[in-house]
Amino acid sequence: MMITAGKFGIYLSSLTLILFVSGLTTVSAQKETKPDNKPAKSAAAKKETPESESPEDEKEPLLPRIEDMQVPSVEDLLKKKPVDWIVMENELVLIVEPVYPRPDTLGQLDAALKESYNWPKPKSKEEIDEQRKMRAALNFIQLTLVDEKENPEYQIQRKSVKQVIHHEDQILKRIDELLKTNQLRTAFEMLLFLDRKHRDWPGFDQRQQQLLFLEAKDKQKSEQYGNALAFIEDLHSRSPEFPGLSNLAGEVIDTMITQSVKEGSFRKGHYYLKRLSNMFPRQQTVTKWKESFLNQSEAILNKADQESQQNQFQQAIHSVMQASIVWPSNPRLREALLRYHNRYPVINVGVMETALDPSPYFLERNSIRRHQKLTQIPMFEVSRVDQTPQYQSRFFEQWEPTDLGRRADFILRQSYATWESHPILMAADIAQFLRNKITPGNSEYDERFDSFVSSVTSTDPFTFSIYFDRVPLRTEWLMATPINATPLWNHVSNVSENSVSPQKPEILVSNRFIVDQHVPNQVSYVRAVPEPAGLREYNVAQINEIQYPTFEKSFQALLLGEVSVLPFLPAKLVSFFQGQEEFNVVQSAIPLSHVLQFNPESNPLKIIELRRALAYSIDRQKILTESLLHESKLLNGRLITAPYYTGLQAYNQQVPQREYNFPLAVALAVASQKKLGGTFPPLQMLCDPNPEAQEAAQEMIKAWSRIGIKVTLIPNTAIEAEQQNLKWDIVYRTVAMTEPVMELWPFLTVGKGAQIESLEIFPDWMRQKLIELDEATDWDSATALLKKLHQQLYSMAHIIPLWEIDQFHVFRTNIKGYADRPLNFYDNVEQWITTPVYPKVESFTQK
Amino acid sequence: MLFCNYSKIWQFLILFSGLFLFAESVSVAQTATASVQSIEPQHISLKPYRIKVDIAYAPAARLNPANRLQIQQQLQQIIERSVGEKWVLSEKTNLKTSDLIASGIHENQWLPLASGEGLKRLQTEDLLKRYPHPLFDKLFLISIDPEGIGYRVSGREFDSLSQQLSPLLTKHTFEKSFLSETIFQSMRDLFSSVLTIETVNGDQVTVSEQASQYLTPDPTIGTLEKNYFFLPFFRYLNRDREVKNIQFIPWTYLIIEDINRKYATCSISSGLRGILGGSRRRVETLAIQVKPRYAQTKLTLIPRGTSTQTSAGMKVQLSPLDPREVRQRQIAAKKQQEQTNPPPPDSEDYMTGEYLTNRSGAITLEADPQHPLIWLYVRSGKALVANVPYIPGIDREITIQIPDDRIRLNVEGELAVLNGELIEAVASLSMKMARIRKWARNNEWPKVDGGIRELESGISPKQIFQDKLNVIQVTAVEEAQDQKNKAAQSRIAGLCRETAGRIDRFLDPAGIINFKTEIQDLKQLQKQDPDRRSPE
Repeated sequence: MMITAGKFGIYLSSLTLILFVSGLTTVSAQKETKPDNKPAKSAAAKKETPESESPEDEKEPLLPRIEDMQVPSVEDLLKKKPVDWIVMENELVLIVEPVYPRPDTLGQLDAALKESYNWPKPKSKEEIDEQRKMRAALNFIQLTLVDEKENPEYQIQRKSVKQVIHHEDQILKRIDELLKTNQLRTAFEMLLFLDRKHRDWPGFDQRQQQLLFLEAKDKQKSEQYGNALAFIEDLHSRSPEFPGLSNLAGEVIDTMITQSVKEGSFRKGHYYLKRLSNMFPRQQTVTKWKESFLNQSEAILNKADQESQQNQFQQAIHSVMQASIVWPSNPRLREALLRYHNRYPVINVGVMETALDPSPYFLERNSIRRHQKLTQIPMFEVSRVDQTPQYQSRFFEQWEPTDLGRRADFILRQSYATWESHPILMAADIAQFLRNKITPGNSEYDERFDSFVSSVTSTDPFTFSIYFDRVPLRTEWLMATPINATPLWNHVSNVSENSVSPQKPEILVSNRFIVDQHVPNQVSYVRAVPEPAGLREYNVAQINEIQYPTFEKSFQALLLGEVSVLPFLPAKLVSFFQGQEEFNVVQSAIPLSHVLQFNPESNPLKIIELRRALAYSIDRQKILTESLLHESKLLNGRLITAPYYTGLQAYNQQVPQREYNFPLAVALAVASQKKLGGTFPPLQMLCDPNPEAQEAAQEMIKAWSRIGIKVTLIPNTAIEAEQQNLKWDIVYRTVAMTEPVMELWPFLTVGKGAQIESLEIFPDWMRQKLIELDEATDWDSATALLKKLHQQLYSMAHIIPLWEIDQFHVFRTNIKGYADRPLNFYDNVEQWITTPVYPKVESFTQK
Repeated sequence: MLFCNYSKIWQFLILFSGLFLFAESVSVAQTATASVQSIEPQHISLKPYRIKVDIAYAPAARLNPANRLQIQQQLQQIIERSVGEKWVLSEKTNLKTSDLIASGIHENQWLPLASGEGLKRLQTEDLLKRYPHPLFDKLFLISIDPEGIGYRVSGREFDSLSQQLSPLLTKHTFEKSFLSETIFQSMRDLFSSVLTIETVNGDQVTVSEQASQYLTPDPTIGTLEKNYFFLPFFRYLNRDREVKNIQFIPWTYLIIEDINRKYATCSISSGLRGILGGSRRRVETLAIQVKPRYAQTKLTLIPRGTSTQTSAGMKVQLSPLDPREVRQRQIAAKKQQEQTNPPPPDSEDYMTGEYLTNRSGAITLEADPQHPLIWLYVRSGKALVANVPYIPGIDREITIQIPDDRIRLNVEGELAVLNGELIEAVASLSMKMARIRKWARNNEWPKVDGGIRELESGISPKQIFQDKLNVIQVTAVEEAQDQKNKAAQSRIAGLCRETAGRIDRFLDPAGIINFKTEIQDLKQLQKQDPDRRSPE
């Protein structure tokens, strides 16, 4: 309502006029003793009034009527000075500055007047006058006309005022208008404005609830059901009986559950159902879905029963697990789970990546080590490490070197225990496979193996001999390879007794488990040869590796019972699990060594100064203790100078650690920069997906940036994995070597194996040393050579050994049979025994 | 009628061959140790090649005597027509000797297995036993085997002067009537000329080819051309001018550069020095032509003497240039670099191939018809342990001896580590000096004094490095002395000298003295003008 200054003069004179004309009440000016003010004001007003003010204007009504009053716009309400409307009995409106008391001015005045009759009886005349004056004052409302500068203050008799419409009421009116037109955002802003202006203004809560309801409906309309549910819950907490709320909640949740069920995310459905039942337990939707879930799970359990009758135990346990997911509260579930799990034990393992996922990191990583261990049994495997590795064999009953080590005779086992999951291995299988390894041009040809082995002969089905050209340092290591060939004797039981899948992968002689199914985020492995029927107790039949995007998620899954084992446990969390009765923490026999290696084809890194600068700029101690171990004592990690376990006999303890030296790193970086022509090219770093490695890599990149070397971490994504000729300069590797004498060569050649050609990248002296090491015939000279090489490699910064961190695995206590100090996570996996864990209904409904 | 005559002749030949074989076996027994007669003192260029051809017919080839006779006659005609006087097939022979050991074309009835495989198995010793006093210069051993619907003609050449038996050459024909033509083609390809070395003048050799005075009707046969390669050999004679011994000169080749009817000029490409120079009594110096007959040659490095060093993983480089040319190029490149100061050129751009020996110490060299002769550079670290010329394809397999270089190579490794440490020490020292300079500029003289004291207080880094170097050198030299390996000793000394020079250059105490003087100057300036602040 725009009123000019001139008009206010007119208002003022007309106000007096109207009040007197009406004769209903008396309005007295506050300063009646100055009657000349009004003419002066009028004169002034007249002066200010433009000449254009026509006589028609004067004929217009001087005060607006209430029905003509427009609700102020949002902008006016927010920007202009707040005004109240005094509605007279004659429906005319006075626009004044905010009147007090508020809110409900008239009501408060009436109440005060009523209260005044209860005042104590006056004792003196003065008191009588005083009380009369005070009571009289309660019959008047003090008001200040807007934009009246000289005498703006008046009082008006209460009786002549029909209604006071406060500024806040005007805001509410505007909010109502906005809600009607569905301008919810502006309405929300106005509500906030009102709340700030006057908390708990009458009508605020109703508008707010209305807004929440409308917001919920709006979100429902725009299919943002999660947001809609949030508004519904908020409104429910404020007004559980809000009309239409129950129905709206039912509609929204119904849609959400339907969607979740469609996606197969029953847990999500349960979660929404629980949210609804918490608000409206007797809602129709709640009952409907509970029945639906129960019926579905019943149907699945019936199917499981049928499958078990047909000896399809894998499908049966799968169905029961499905039923437990559909409706964990089904009372039949516990019994079914127990029955089928005992017959076909399944273990869920929580991992961060599986071996079948594409990764730009082409070297051996934890998932590949796990996969290899789970799927292959080498002829000899390391059983324990006590300074030197000790070997055992699943296949050989006896093996003996003869002819001064130039021949070795092997006798194979002829029978296996029921828990063993590999096919029967015969001498012909081995002989054929080993012959392929020494036949140039064959896909299995192994140059190193060929350099040792002259020929292989097999005299009967379970006996064979190997003739050596060169006596190997350790025959067991040479034979520590799986027989990756199909059995010549093809009548092994390679079809699972309860399998119906027609396309099973080919079973190789040394398969322990085989990949049964690979779906996104999960790889299932089953025994290559299942356990026979009729056993009293069954060992694990299936391993499901379930992938989680982060360690935190896998950790959560373990706590919720989704998985029973975590093969990776950061050293910093060991103490947490050690205190839990539900879990067992198992430490690996050898730690994982973390090493930086350089691409031999990277030109900048051929400069020794740059390699040394990179080495000196890393504060290994700090990264290890602060970022990786999170404790001051280095109990679960140690700094290293070689890429293998410090407890091995071959580890040279005399090599001093390279201390962090930032100034020297800078000096070396400057020296290398000169050689590079003044600028450092940006370097690319490839990193093992191990979370600890990734974390440490980030720290190192920061450290290198401080000496002016920019290194970028190649993301571990499928897109990068698909890239041909991925360029990298530095690789962060994790390794667990047990036989460095033999494993150092393939390690140094970065994935190119132990072939002579792969040594081309090294200087002649190092190449000859590695060959000499490979050809060593006694342990003393081999160890001496390795120790010398260790010192030289470290000094030349061809590799930067960082630290070794003990590896820990967490098992739920329902799993038994694993090794106390396994070398690999899946050591002894065929003998793992598990009892079912009944799913916690509560955990299933937690998000 | 003709057939009858032929069969009689054939029977006659068989009868005589039986007698001859019997007599020969006695003769072999008697002259098992006797050597071959020396060549006659007639100039070699006037002496035609006496050619003997022994043709073995595999029974499965189903060639009857008439066919055989026809083949031999046709072959004789072809030889006479194409080669003329240069090859003599019939010569007046000594009455005492059988025709079968003289020149001519004969059926081979002594080969145990009358086939290409039988020829392949044949050894030089077998021929020397069979022909202790040959009356021929070249013996072509031919066999005809059936192959599919045609014939396989295999052949080998035996040179009586060098007592060399060539590798097997095989050709195919589908038509019986083409057999003699195919045999002749085999002989043409198998034939290797023989030269006598007349004079040696530095790297140039004047030679005479046997029968060079006789021109062949078909000029493509047996005629020398430029860039033909010859393998020289010595024939050591006794007082009776009988051959005592024949010795081939290893890793040495003669390359024809200029030819006339009597003489030709050759250049020598050899891994040995002055091997052909000087006159020797009762020694004939000849050379036989060599051609790449195999697609590839397996070259194996073997340790010299009793060394147990592995020859696996050794670097072998190939170059068309000889070491002298390489050296000249290197010197020229160095001069150019000094004059124009361009970026250092790739010193090994003349290398056309680089191999690492496999676990058996072998590499495979491919024959290249465009550049038959290559130089092999066998390296062990910075040292060149063998440097010889070779023509890949002339042998199936060949070995080269390499000296034991382990001690020197170990020193190379130790010095690489020491040099790395030296870089660190120099960087560390310069960093400390830079810090002291900064303090001096900021007038933080107590810190400057402390820094200088710290620089001087420790053991001189130069001394430390020299001590380390001495340990490396003395240990290695003692080890080399134990092995009596003088080459290794001098090479180790050279390597250590190089590193010692580097230590002197980078860790010279004069550097610290100069630095102290510089700081003193700065201090003086500060005293004279306390408000002065050196620019950063």
